[in-house]
Amino acid sequence: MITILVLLFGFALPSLLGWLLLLHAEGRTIVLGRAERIVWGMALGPTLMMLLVFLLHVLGIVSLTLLGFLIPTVLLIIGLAFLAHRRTLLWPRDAHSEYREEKRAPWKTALLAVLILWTAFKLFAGAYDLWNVPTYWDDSFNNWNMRGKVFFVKKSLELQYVTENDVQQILGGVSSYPPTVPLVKTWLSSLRGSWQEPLVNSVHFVWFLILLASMFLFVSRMQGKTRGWIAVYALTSLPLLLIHGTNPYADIFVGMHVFLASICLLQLSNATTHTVRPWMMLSGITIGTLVFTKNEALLLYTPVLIVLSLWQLWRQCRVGKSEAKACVRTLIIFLGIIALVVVPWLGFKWMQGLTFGNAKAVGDTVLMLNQRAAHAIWFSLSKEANVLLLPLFLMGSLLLKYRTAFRLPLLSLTLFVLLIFVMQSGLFIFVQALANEAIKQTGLARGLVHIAPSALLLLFLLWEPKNTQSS
Amino acid sequence: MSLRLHLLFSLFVFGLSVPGVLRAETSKLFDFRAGMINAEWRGAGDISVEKQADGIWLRSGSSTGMILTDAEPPFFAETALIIASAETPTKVLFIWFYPEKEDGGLTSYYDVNVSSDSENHRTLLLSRHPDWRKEKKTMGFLLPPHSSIVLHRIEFKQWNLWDTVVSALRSVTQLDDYRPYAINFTWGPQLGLNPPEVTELYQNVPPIATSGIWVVTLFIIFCILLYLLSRTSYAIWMRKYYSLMTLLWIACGTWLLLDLYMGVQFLSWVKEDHDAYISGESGFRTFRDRDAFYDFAEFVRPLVTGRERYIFIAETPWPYIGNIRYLTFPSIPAFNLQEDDTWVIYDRSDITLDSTNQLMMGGDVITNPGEVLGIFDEGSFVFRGTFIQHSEPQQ
Repeated sequence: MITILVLLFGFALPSLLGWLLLLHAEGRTIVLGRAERIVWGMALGPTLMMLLVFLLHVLGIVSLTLLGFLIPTVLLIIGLAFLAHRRTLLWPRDAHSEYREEKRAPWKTALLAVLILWTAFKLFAGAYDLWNVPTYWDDSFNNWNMRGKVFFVKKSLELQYVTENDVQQILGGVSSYPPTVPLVKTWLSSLRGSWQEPLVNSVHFVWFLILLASMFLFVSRMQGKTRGWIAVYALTSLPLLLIHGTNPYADIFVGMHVFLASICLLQLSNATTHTVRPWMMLSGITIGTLVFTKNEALLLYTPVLIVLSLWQLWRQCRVGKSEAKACVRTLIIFLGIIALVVVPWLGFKWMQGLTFGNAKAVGDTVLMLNQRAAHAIWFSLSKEANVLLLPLFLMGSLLLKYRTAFRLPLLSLTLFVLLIFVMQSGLFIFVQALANEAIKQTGLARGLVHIAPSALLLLFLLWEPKNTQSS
Repeated sequence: MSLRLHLLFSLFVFGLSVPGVLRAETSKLFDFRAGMINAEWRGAGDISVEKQADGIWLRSGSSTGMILTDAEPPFFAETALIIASAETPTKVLFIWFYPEKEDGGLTSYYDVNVSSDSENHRTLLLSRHPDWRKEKKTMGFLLPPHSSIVLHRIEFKQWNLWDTVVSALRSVTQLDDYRPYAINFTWGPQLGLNPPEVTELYQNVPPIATSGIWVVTLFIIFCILLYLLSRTSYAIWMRKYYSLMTLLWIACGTWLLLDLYMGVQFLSWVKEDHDAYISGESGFRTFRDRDAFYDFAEFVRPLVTGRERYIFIAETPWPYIGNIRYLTFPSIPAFNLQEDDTWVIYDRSDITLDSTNQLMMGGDVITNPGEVLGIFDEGSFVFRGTFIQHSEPQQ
């Protein structure tokens, strides 16, 4: 019971931080619904809090103790709340108080109820398992949990520890990862006063729930609650996501950030003169926090997201929806928010000699076609059940609905999903150092988990009811 | 007899013959028991062949030896059941090549492991091998140097349509276990097309079977093509029966079925964890492929607490060394024999204590007399004693 209370409080505090920051980002032009802001705050808040503590820690201001986490976070929350009060941003109205809803036939309601119950049962079973079993997977006990435990015991950000046979090894691959996920575990353990397996492992399930809630809220906003529930069912039915969501791996956490960033991208395409600025601010925050999740976020997702966001801003300014001066100001703030994360993080990596890449350094890469990697990608997508039939359905839908897919507003999301897939595949197929990540399906699986929620969202948006009827 | 009666009678006769055709099964037995040998076999290389009552005794000398035949089943064999025995565990190869090919045909093979039990049954899934073709071939066995087995029988089989259908349906009831690769990939439903394939469904990585996802994918592609065809002027009539909504319902239906299968598999994993670990009594539980390791680590933790390092020896370093490092941190496993004196031994029945409480490994004494801090089970214990520097134990 205490562990559950710690988990709740441990999430509530950073969520409040995230919520306040989102309020400031939106300003007077509210673009998120009340529930959306809470869920987005829960998603982004822990990353923001860990970024804050990380920066203060490397500057030597705080140590990784309970007070080291608590004091700067509470002070920042007080500061942001005070500022929000001054700006009269507190207690905002709901931007989307009315969700589209249609009347359902009784059999459809019954079918929906069955799907929701089935989904809830799987989630409950997964959570029960995660709570009760020991840490089993390699990356959990060698990286995510291990680093968190080292930070908790040593009360400092250790980049090396004894690995094997008395050899002090710098864990070049995993130490180079942003420390967010391990720091969240350190924070919760500091709050609890001891390292508890259920506590440090269950955060991953909370992130999975947040991802599901984000999907539900956005699809509900776009297509009604029925579709929202179906989207939750569909996301939970992707086996690899369900497995990752109920195990202590960091990729659902990354996928959640990618998903929020892709929503911002999509909404930028839909934006009006008034809503461009808040969506650009939110985009900046989601991209910035994404950088601080895992290495591949910096190398793969961030450049594509920045380019596509800037394209949307440029498009808005070019068609005269926004004034040039306002556009430049928005651009500077957008890039400034991202730089606030990227510059110190890259500076830290550079000073510590940490590598880039997904657990593999991408310095001495050899470019060469690797057919086995290409075959592994094909095999994974067409003959394994990792994401069920999502690749086939998405490709088929892009073919049948190409007019919708390759036309704004969906174009930016379509481009994002396709570009990321092509870039991921290209890296595995042509970069020799990464080919094994596809052949052994390690990095390949991570990539699928990151992009699958956004791809599923695209699939849902392609089959907008009115589009379906008109086809 | 009227034409109508003729037709009815013909249909009746045809109907009677259908189950027979469906169930027609073809097999060919090569017997090696005394007086039962029904094909010509020849030796090649360094091999001696001796007839025995229950089979032929094959022995290779200092180099490899082969026994070959040009006789082959008069049908395309899908599986081969090999029955053999050996005094000690022996690995031989079932080989085949195509002599009529210009290059003589490259030799293909299957490993056949013969353990020291009386009669080993090993089924080869021949039709799944890319080089097993409907061509005239020479086949036989290759024995590595100094090998010896007794070959009893080989049965080649071509399975009938009924077996194929039943096997495919039975495959769907088989579920994979929660294995270390599940965090990276999950096979999904696999279809074995004959009984031996169903038996071996998830024993090979990747499974030697037909991917259910691939079958569904082909079906959906066919449905999409059919839809696109119905949009052309060649098949306007189809539009009345086959709309976009029909296609969507088919797609959703297949998704639901696949989700049902994968969901049931996921729940079976949770149930297995519950039965074997969560609800088990501490000290007697097992967890997936780690057996009793996690209870052992719990047992070890208080015994190494306060010590910076300990010597850890398990059957294999992976995954135990990383796992126990995490579980006992800040006390960590190492292999510094000169400085550390606490030995954590997991599942090594070859490491024992002698009557004077000295640690022994492979018959050699490796420590001074010490103290047993705790025994978890046979082969797993914690010991404290200093290393004698005359040997180097294997980690």
